[in-house]
Amino acid sequence: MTGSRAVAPRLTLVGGIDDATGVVTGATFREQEDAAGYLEVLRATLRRFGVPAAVYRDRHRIFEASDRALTLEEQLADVRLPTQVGRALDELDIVSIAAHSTRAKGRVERLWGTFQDRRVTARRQPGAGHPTAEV
Amino acid sequence: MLATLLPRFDRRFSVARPPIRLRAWRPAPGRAATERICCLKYRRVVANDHAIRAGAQMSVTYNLGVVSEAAPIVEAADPAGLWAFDCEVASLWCNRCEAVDGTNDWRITDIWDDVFFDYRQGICPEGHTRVMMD
Repeated sequence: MTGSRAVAPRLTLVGGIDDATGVVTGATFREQEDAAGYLEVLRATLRRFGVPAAVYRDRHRIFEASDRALTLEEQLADVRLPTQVGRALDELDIVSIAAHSTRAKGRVERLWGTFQDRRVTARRQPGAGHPTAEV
Repeated sequence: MLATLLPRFDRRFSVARPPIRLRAWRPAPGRAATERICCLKYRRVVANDHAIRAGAQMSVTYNLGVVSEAAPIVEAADPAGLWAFDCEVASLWCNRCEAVDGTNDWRITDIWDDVFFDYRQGICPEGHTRVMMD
């Protein structure tokens, strides 16, 4: 697909940014926002920078499934099992802070705006590979 | 594309790390530990009819005597045990790294004996070779 009018695949960009420095710690394209994408970003962050003290994230159910009904196994154990990403954050002893609004995590939201401006143009240049292979 | 865009973004928009005493970053665990943590994990239970529920049902088709040995290994989520039981069911486990690595990092090659498929060979990210499927 080349040219600015070509129809590009609809993808979701999952990423993280260091709130202190503005460095993008990791980002990956996924067909939808999913746990595997967040784990890929977490893996890239660990490899490049190490373990962050805390993550400031949205209230997506990928991080904390607090509103679903307990499974039979959870009822018997009287505990809510963590999500895949929640379990990884727990194992790494990373504090997970849920933002109450998109405005609260303004830095990453601003990053999406910048990427939508610049990334789409770069994406449509001739020779660009399939985006899901990128991290 | 992201590999070139992200460094350019960082150079243009990032700022110096603030001089504070609080350590915001800790050293990462080793590669094997990172892979062990940053993966999808599912608890599996082997039913009395030797079936394992994994989305659609998957059946453990070993003979009835062997499945009783496989069941506790599956339920304990022990990839080293699965490797020892049958290397094909521990498909991304490297017994030398003692870690499960993501599919994208393995170099997988089909080995052919003339026109007949012989076996599938995999090389883990650390360069260890193993048979993936025979």
